[in-house]
Amino acid sequence: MEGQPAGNAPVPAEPVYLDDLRGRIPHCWHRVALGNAPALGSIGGWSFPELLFLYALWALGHGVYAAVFGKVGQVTGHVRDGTFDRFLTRPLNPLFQVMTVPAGITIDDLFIAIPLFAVAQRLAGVAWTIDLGLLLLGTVVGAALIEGSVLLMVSTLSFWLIRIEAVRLLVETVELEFVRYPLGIFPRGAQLIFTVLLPLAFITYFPSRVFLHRAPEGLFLMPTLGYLTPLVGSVCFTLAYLFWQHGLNRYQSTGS
Amino acid sequence: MAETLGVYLGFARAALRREAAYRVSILIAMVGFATKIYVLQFVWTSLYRSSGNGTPGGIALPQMLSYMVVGQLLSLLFRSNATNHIRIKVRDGQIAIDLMRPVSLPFSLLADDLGATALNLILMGPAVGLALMLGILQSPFSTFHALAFTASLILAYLAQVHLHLLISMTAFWTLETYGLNLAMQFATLLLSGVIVPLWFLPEGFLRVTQLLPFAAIYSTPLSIYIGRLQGPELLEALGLQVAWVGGLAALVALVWSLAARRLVVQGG
Repeated sequence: MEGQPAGNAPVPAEPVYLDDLRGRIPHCWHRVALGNAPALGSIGGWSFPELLFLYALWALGHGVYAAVFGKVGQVTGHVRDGTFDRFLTRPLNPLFQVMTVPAGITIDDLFIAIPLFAVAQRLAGVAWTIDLGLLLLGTVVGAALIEGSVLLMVSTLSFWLIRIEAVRLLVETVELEFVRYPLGIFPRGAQLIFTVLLPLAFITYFPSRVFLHRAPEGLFLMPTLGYLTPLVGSVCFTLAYLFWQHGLNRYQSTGS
Repeated sequence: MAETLGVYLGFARAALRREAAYRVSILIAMVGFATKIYVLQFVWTSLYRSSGNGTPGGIALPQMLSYMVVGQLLSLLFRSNATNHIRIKVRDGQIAIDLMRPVSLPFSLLADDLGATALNLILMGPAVGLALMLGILQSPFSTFHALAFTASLILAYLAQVHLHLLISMTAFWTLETYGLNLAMQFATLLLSGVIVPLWFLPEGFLRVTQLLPFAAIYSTPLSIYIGRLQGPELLEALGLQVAWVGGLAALVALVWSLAARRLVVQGG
């Protein structure tokens, strides 16, 4: 019940942005309420505005990801229903085709993320410079690439496994919970996993430390990590794209 | 009488079988639960460690972690959406057929939900096991509290299922319940005590929560479990739950009588 659409049976399409809003407000409430509780300390030493910024930065990257890569999630359905082949018969990159299916862009997430970020950076008192502006651009693009690469990898798996919806939802569920809190509060094992294996930490945590001029904490102390998001995103996406090409070749050679 | 009961039990059994088939949904719910309790344990530990106070709100960290875990268990237990089927039935007109049946629609929906919740009850097993493995779940405060918690849990379930049914029945008038559902989910997240215990809320909000059923659904059983409610306060809280169940059930009966008449008048 908590923040999840509990419907199991298929339901008529509902406004996506409202669904997203449900994810946002309780999160902020959590901060506000706890901010009003003088007895409680802080989460990893991060103040409410800083936590909000952490979340808002993720939201920006996620919004771009949803708008650009949203359609990639449909590959699974196409492969299952046998309608994927039409992307292969046309003389255009299949991935590009999937991404540009003319059925509406999901800008709902971005629509909410932009004002949220505007408020958050204001509350956190970010002192903007040209450098930080460029960092923001690079981070948002890099974050979108990281999330996009995860989706691409999972979608590629659908060439081999039919029931891949579960994996995608699983990864999304896990990501959503871990990405909204400062990595430093988790044990070293978890910090390692989310930096090296599934680089969620580059989506918002490391960059946020730079924007907020926070002293490094936790397992990973190098301040330069905050600038690496575009690089990590590019590497991840390249790997994912290679995997996708491999999957595509296998799919075509075995005959659907 | 026994025959009617048998019919409704049949609905419940069918619902249980139906829900058990949605394996992906169950998997996601379990992974979501596991992830949440794993993450939130560190959030709360961090909040407590950085606090100057050893027991903010009078609750020690192990108790707070148990509160959080049981809260997530309740969310898992109450995740059924069975009563929302009214909306779908009204939309595709199946409601006309349902009204012609010799069974009461509200009761059949309640039976349906019971079946779905029975499945969620089965999921409690591995869920509790996981929490125990992580070492973040303590047993109830005392044997008496364990019993009181069980009673409170049943009352909480009855309250929330009637609340859902009530909201769902507005579909008879408005066709769409999405807005109300969303509002209810927000209210549950914010005012039920499941994310932030009510004793941490500012005074004004606290008063609002007492006027709404959400606290009676989550905060009350959770507070009993960790022993925050004792003696007369505990009995008072249970009494309030009974009042909510009674009130909501009465409302459901009232709304149903209005709805049934309206549907009949409109020619099904």
